[in-house]
Amino acid sequence: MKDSHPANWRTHRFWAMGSQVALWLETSDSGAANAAFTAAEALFAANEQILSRFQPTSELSKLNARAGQWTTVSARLWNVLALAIRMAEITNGCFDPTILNALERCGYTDSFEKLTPDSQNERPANSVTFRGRNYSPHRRKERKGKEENFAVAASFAVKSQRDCRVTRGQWAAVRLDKRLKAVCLPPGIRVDLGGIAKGYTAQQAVELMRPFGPCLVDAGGDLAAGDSPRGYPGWPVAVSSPWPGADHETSDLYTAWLANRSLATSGIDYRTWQRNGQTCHHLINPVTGLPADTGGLTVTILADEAATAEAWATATLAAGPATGMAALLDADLAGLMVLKNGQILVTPAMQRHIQDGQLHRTESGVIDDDNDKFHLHET
Amino acid sequence: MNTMTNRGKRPNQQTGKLKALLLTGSVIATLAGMQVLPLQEPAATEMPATAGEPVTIVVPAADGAAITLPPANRKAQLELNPIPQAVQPQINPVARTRSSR
Repeated sequence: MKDSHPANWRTHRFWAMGSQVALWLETSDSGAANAAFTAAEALFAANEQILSRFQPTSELSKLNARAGQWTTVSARLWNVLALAIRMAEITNGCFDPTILNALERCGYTDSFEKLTPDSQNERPANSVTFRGRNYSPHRRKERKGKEENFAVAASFAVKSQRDCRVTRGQWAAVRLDKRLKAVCLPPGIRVDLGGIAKGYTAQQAVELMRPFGPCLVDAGGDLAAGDSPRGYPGWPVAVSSPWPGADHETSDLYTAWLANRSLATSGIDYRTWQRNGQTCHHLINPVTGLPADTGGLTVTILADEAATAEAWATATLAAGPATGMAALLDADLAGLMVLKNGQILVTPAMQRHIQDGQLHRTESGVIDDDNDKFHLHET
Repeated sequence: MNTMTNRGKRPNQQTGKLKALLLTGSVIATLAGMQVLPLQEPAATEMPATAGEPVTIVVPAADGAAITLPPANRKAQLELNPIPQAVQPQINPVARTRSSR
């Protein structure tokens, strides 16, 4: 059979879940392509109506409003929520879906495109301000050394019941009844499923489009691929650099083929906003309930499922370079972390998938003398 | 008839002897040269050395930039990345993974 040509790959773009979504399908049947694209777009819309924390009428918002009570939920919300709690368990709380209160305290109160600078200055006077919490030298000293420890998240949950009761993550206190598909959130705790819901939906879209032909879904930077286009080893994709190129255009760190797997990136390089004159981002340290600053800028994970990749990326970034990368090694996951200082840490599993690393890389080496488990790419 | 034929072969026989002599001589000369060459090699390596200077290997990169390897006593053990054998995409990426957009 004749190889396909990229110019003939069909694509469809739309806005959903606060992100630009692009669908790719290799088929010569325009009717089938339209049917696949329509169904996939409808899937994103339906999942957003269930899983969005920004829509007051969403099922998730209704569940959040019933914290402290048992609530039966739909199969779709159950699947994502159960997966999120499972990922919190695996990462010892470095990925935590129960930090919505902390996110909003930092100013992430609306979908990102609707956020305005310093929009939270009108909050009630008795609320704790972001500036006061985040920039206390005393608190920063206390946190030092804790941010890079997966175990801290779990141990902190029993150490302090008073100070950060509503802002720190409480994933371990979420109760799930698998038989009834019922959920009971701890009182005062609300859930945010943003990234993992988007990854879950991207993966669902791949499965939905798969019968129509080889496909690729780009959900705002989370990539989920089906089969390879004919004549190619996969879909040509790239890991974008957090630093814009010359002309402020997107530059790529690596290019790779992607087939029947997913690539997801979590980062604090793009979605930032100003609050009280300070730059804020959405990556929360579940232990402190404050924006995490571990030296990491972005983390990209290659995994079988987009939702899993997304959760791992967030957890690794929150845990920091040393602990996060060690966790990826333990899990034998393919991942790379871009640090603020320009270094790129790559696990061996990821390195095997990297096709070309020409941009920015000038030298490379093993950074750990005792065990050469992961590689350092200096930019 | 026979005598004339024998006389006609004499010059050829002399030429053959000369050829054999030349061939033997060239072989002897070649062998002698091989004996001499190894004696010359040590002289070629006895160039003045700059002992103690750090070794810097400059590898030209594709974009014209240079890669300078640090001294060997650096804490991190340096090793060049293996170049993946898989064929890199020759077409532009259709999608990019990046933090949420």
